[in-house]
This record gives sequence, C-alpha cells and structure tokens, in this order.
Amino acid sequence: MKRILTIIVVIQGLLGYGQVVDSLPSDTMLHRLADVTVVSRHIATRRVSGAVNGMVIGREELFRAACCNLGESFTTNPSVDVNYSDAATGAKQIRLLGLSGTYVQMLTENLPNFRGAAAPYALDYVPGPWMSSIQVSKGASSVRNGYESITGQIDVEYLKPDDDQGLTLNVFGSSMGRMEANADVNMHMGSRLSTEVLAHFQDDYGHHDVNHDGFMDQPDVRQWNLQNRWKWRGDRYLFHGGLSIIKENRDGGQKRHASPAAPHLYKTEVETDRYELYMKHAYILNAEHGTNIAVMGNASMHLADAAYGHKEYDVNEKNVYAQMLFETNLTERHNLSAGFSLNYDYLRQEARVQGVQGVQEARDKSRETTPGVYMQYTYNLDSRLTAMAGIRADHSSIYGTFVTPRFHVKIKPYETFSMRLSAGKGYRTPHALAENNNLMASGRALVIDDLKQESAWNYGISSSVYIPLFGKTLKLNAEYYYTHFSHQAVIDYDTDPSQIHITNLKGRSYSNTFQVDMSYPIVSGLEITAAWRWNNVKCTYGGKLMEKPLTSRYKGLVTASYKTPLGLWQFDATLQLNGGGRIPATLSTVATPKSFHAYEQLSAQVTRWFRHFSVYIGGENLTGFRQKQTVINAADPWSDAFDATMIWGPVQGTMVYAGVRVNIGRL
Amino acid sequence: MKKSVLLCAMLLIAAVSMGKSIKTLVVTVTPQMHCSGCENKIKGNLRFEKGIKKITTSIADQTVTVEYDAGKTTPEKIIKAFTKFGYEAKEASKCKTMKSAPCTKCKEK
Repeated sequence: MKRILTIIVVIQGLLGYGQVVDSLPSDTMLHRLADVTVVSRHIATRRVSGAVNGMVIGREELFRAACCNLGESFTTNPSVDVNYSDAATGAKQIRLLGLSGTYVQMLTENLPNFRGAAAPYALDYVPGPWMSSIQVSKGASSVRNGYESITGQIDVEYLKPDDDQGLTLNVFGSSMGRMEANADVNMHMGSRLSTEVLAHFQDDYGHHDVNHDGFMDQPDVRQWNLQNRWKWRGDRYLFHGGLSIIKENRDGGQKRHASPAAPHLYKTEVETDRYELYMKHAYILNAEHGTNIAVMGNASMHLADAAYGHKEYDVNEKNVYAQMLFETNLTERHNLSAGFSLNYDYLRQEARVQGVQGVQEARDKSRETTPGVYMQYTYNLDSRLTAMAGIRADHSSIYGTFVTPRFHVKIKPYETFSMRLSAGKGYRTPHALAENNNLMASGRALVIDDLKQESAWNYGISSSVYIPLFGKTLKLNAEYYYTHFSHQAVIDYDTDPSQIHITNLKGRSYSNTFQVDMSYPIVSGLEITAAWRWNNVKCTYGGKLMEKPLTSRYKGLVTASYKTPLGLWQFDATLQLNGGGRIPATLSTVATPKSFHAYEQLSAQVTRWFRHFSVYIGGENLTGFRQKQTVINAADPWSDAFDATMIWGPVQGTMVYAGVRVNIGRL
Repeated sequence: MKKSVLLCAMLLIAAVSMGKSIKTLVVTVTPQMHCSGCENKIKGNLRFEKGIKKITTSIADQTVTVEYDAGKTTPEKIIKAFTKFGYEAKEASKCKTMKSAPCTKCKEK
C-alpha cells in the first residue's frame, strides 16, 4: 500500500519529476517526496485536472519534432490527426474524434480565432516556436467560450511578455526546400509592464514533383508573420493585449519545367493578408474568493485572393468578438461563472469561373450578429467528485435564438482511478465557400445550397488508471465519444461525380471513436507511449448512409523518447499506422481505386542541448510512403475529371531537416 | 588477436570508469528556492557545467545536491557556477547534508 501511495505522491507532486530518491529511508520518503525533485525529465503532456477531458501539450513535447507550425505539432499525439485537404494548395485540416477540423473550436489564448475564411490554412498561421503550450479538450467543452465547439477545443498559448527576458532565434531548413526563421524577444519595463515581439518568416522554394505528374507536391509558400504583445500586472488589475499581421503567398500547381508540353499551365495562387487585434482586462475583486471580472475580445480582418486554374475566389472577412465574464468561488466547493458575449461576422465573397460560355460571376455579402449569455456552475467535493453544468442562450440575427446545454462530471474514487462523463450540444454557422474554397482545385462543379445552422450532440466517457509496475507507473487511458448531427452542411462527393455538393444533411450523420492509450517509463529517461483508436464515421449522401470518405478507420501510434540523465541529449521516434478508408467515385476514365489501404509513417529526431543554444536534426515520413496518385487526371487539368482534392495520405516522401535554436539573455 | 584487442578495450573502459571519482556536494542558495521554476532554473543551467553528473534540489531543505566527477571539476568551480545565473551558493552544513536523518544536535535546536 505504501508503495502505491509513494507512486501516487510522485504523480501528484510537481508534474515534471517522477524519480524516487533512493538514498532516503523508506519511512521518511513518503513525507518528503512531494518536496523533493530530481533531475529527470518533465512530463511533456499532462492531463487537465478538471471535469473536462483535456490535455496540455507542453513546450517539451513540441520540441520532440520539428513543429514548424501548429499543424505539425500533433505528430506525437494520438488524439489529433492532421491531413492535407488537397494536393494543390497545401491546405491542412485537423481531425478530432474522426470529424473535420471545422467542428473543433480553435482558440488562441482562450479567445475564438481562425474562423471562416482563415480555416483552410489556419494551421500554418501559428508558428511552432511561438507556442508555449496547446490545450486539447475533447467532447463538449465549457460554455464560457461560446457554442461552436462540437468535437472539442484546441487552445494555443503563445510565449508570454512577462516570461524571463531575452531573445530566442530559431532557424530551420529541410530537404524539401523549406527555410524558416523565427524570433521572440521580450522586455520588462519595470516590475509591472512587459512587451514582446514574435516574428516569423518562411519560404518554400522546393518545386518538388516526386511523382512526376507535372504538379508540384507542395505549393511554394512565403509567409511573414509578426505579433506584438503587451502585459500589465497590477495588484488587482491585469491587462494583456496585442496585434498581429500575417502576409502569405502560396503558389502551386503546374510548373513549366515539370510540364513543358502543356499549352496553358494550371496554377493555384492564394494571396492572404490577415490582421488581428486582441485585448483582455481582468479586475480582481476578492482574491480570497477568486472573485474577478474580465472583459476580453478580439477583432480580425482576413483578405484573400485565390485562383485555382480558371476559378477565382476573393474574400473579405471581418470578425469582432467581445466577452464579459464574472467568476467567484461561493465556498470552497461551489464555483460560479457567468457572463455575456457578442460575436459579429461580416463576409464579402466573389467567385468567378471562366468557362467556354464566358465568365460566370457570383457575389455574396452576409452579416451575422450573435449576442449571448451563459452561466456555469462547478461543484468540487475535495477533487473526488467534480461536476460542471453550463448553459448558454444566444440569438443569431440569421438563425434566431438557440440554447446550448453542456454537462461534465469527473469521479475520482481512488487516487489511482478517475472517470469522466460528458454530454453537450454545439452549433455552427457554416461559411461553406470560405471554409472550403480550396475545394475549387477540382474540375468538379462546386454547388452550395442554402445551408442551415449546423448542430450536433456529443457524448463521451473516459477513464484513467495508474498502475504501479516494477517500481514505476503505467498510465492507462480509455475513452469513447459519440457525436451525432441534427443539422449538418454535408460535403457530398458521391451523389454526382461531376460535382462537389455542399448541402443540408438529409438522414443520419454520426461519429463513434474509441481510443486506448498507455505510457510507461521503461528505464530512467525513456518514456514509451502507445495508442490505438478506432473511428466509425458515417454520413448520409444522396439518401445512402455511407462511410465518410478519405477518413482512416483506425490509427495506431507508438512513440519513444529518451533523454540522458542531465537532459543534454534527446532522442525521439514516432511510428504511426493509419488505417484504410473509402475513396469516392470520380469521373476519371482511368480506373481509380474505391478504397485506400493502411499506411505507416515514421519520424525521428535527435536534439543536443547547450547552455545558450540547441541543435536538432530529424526526419519525417522516413519510410517514404506517399499517396501515388495525388492529382486525378493531372494530364488534363482543364477537364471535369481533374481533381486535386482526393487526398488520404502523405503527398511528400521522406523529408530530412535540421535546425538551431539560439537563446540570448535568458538564464 | 581479436581476443587481445577485446581484452585491452575492456581494461581501458574499466580503467576509465574506475578512474572517475564521483563525489557529492550539498549547497544552500541565495536567493532561496520557492517553486519548481527556481529549481528548474538551477538545474537547467548547472547541468551544462563540466563534470556534473546529477543534480537534486529540495525546496523543503533548501539544498542543491550535486554529484560531480572530481577529476573534471571542484566544489569551488561548482559554487562559482551558480553566480552565472544569479544565485549565490554556499556549502551546506553537515546537518543539511544529512537531511534524511538529522543529527541529534539539529533536532535539539
């Protein structure tokens, strides 16, 4: 029993350190253990202790792979999948619980971000070296952040202005012709005010066409990204604000040297300018009871001019979000949070298609204002039972009033076992063309119906068990989530192979996912994680309930990470096995497969840490597996059968990279 | 021939490893350690000093225990290294070094 308790204390103590000090006699060990730390490795990913099933991916975890941007930060994570959306634009999307990334609410520093037109390329807008952590919450999340989360939330925390003063530079280069430079510098002006500048430049110049289909495997992306942040820490007042600018050009498609015989080259070009402004004010009314009022908000403008062959799309999107929150601990066991929010979306879009019959043009302007109120109550019985119930009511100027209930409970009868249950509803306004404009890189006609507001219920159950094994702790997690849509904007490839039809759901649409994962420190410094997830995602297309296309039926993952005792060397390897799935029918006269098979991906990295810098070298997709036919009918990109959106696997082969992080001034 | 080479290599490894003299130094630091951030700052910087083998920190005892290779560094050099990242270190008293079983005098105090 003492042995079990010892292990529990280790787990519960400071999250980073788990080694027992051998020199201490066993009778004093238990009392001292929570206070004693040994140079060992930090736990890079940790579970959130509250009622919501969440995990925090720390900076140490992000350093285990290249993590050039948010999209590449989930390589070692079993829960989140990142897939290419098409083979022309380099757009990627997250999948959580087997469903598209649009159903995951993206937040930066607890504020909703990267909605609508920003969605297709959003994963490239957050440079990896800027992030201090990522919180991934699964299932119905808190109602505090709005009604949009359906499968979960991903919240990115940037480096903070009030972190230790200094400058960090990061330079990265890869065999695929990518060069990146990142910098973060912060300064304290007195004890209360601090500021920070985050800068990023990226240039992809590879022009690689490994499968020799005449199309570049990856677009050439040139991105400038700059952010300035300020923080004021008073005794009772806190301010945090900043602004950011992103400028990006991504050019893909056919290149003259790759397609010398083509009379007219098929090109894709997306020029993006994005501006963001955010601020948070918090007033501490009663520190003893944790009573505070916070006013926060952000505003963004997203301008994009896109051309996919003879199809053009221009968008001007503006968003303003404001929120006021009040929180207090009524007693030690009762916490109350209440507030109201206002969301405003403006979207102006123009689409042009140059066909045989001339130019067809469509323009659209839409505005949606959604004020809302929420209340959330949390009961905490000595961390043995945590129950959180929240409800919010919002009124959309387009869809009217709607109510969002969400409920979470966590039971922890023993220190070594916990279980969570959740149920909740989520809603979303679909901006079909803005969110999927990369689907224009296809010869299929893009047909969009008048869409209803999307809504879905999500139910989940998860459990964690800590088992003492050979003096160390085996951590086991299992979880099951079920999501079913009441209304959904369905992307239908199946009913008519000459179209991509975005239409309202007529029938059933659901997702079942079951995941088990375990981690165990085999020897000191070596941590092994293994996970397996089954996805069963189905939707009704043209009256038939079918498997969601281009979605793997399962995913297996094994990661190994070894750090030498003083942490000067770090070795990481990750092996993924992605299950097969369904491919929709196409118009191509060349026989195209109806399904894809399972495939593996291996990545590895070695890092050497020095006092003021670290050097890393690694490789991705080391087994070299890639989808053979990424562009259907690449020989005739102006035909109806052309399609660059049928992507289910890696579009690039093996990539080797190296980088250096230099730290100046920080101790 | 192969056997001789192998034997020589083993003898060399044994000589190198036996030649290492691992010693322990326990110090107290100013300013005091208050949280894991303080501990990480000490461990994160001290680990790059030559000859350091293992670092253990204890907030309860306010000590940093350093195992080092006496052939590569000295207690003076280790104590001086703390100044590089804003700390002052002093060798702990005997009582502090016997943290797991305090002596009778310390108990009486």
